Amino acid sequence: MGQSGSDGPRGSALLTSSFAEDPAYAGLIRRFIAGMPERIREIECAVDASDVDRLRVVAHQLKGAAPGYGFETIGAAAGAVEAGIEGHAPASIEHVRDDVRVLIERCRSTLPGQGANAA
Amino acid sequence: MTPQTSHSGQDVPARVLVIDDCVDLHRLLKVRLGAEGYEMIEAVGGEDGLMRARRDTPDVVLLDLEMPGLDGFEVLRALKEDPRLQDVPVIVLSGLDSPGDKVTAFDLGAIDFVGKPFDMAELRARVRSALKISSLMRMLEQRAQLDGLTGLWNRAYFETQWANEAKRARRHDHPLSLAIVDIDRFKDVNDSYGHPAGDAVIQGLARLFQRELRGSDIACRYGGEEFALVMPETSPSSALALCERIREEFGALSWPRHPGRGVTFSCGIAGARGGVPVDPADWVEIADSNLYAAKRSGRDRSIMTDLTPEPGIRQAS
Repeated sequence: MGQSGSDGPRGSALLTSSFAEDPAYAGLIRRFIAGMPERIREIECAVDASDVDRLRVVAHQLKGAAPGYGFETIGAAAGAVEAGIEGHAPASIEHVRDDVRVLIERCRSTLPGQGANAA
Repeated sequence: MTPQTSHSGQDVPARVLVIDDCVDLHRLLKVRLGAEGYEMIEAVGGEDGLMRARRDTPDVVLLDLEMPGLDGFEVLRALKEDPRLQDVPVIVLSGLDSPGDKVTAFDLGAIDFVGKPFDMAELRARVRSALKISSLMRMLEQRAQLDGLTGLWNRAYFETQWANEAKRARRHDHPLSLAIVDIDRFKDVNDSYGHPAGDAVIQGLARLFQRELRGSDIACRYGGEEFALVMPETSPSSALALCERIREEFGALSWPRHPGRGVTFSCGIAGARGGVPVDPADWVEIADSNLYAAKRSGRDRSIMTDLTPEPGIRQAS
């Protein structure tokens, strides 16, 4: 994997796509990152509303799509959230709060000005 | 339509229908698979996907399983139950990857299963492979419906297509005509000049059909020296005129193996100017009895029945 940046919490390096050097992906990656604030808001809203079903759908979609854009660690974090929800019946936000935090941090770290690069 | 013209769509880009509720995935596949030259069709849910499949008839479907509303299994089942779509290869592209999900998908008719996240190069290869298999299946299916001697469609193909055309003509109240053609005194040709001479006559007539019929007409070798011509959107009188033209051309042909002996054919036609409620099998029988009437009345002629109200019988020779 060509991703750079750590998987750590806020304040870590800027997370870049493993396909960043591939010109065929340039526009795709730009648009994926541009949609990241909205995705983060969607996750936060689902958490605030304790809407586990909604959170699972968002995590499921990110698990499937993010690696395709070269953000494998986001896909893995989203997969952990989905697995955490599916592993508990009934599931609650509390079961996956730590996994959600990691997922949001990784999403944020794709945004210039949000990670350590901006600190 | 003769078999030689039936795959005119080979240069058209393959259509890939993606049924997935994830917009990010659509965007990715549209660019990365679109770069392969495919025409990409997007559907963001199961219902939408089925509608697009029925409307656009894709060459391959990439199908997510977990979607709100109609899920991927239900979409797959519906696709495989639709006679027009059941042969379209479906690659399941899903984050659900338990053995049970895979078995269910394959049992329902999926050709392949790719887990998410997926490797783009691998997905491209699998799409290519699905398209290739599908194309080979179509080719095999077509070969099984071809007559080896003439290259025309065979009787099995005729039976299917005739039933379809008769149903379509009746539903839309459109003209449709059927001609049954039989080479006169064919046994004499075989007995006098040998089977290669007989084969040459059959092939010569098949070439005439291929040259004279329109792309929408269907020429089939019905039996030994017997042929069936399905002519959609053709009134019985137009069918009679066409068959008469071909009959005259055929009768004027010179045969290298027996230059002094011409060959003729007789023809029975049954047609309708609009969709009439005649059973397809009865329709064939009427054309066939006209053929035998043409034989009995001296051969080298066509007899036609107009099946539309106030039917009449006309004879030409």
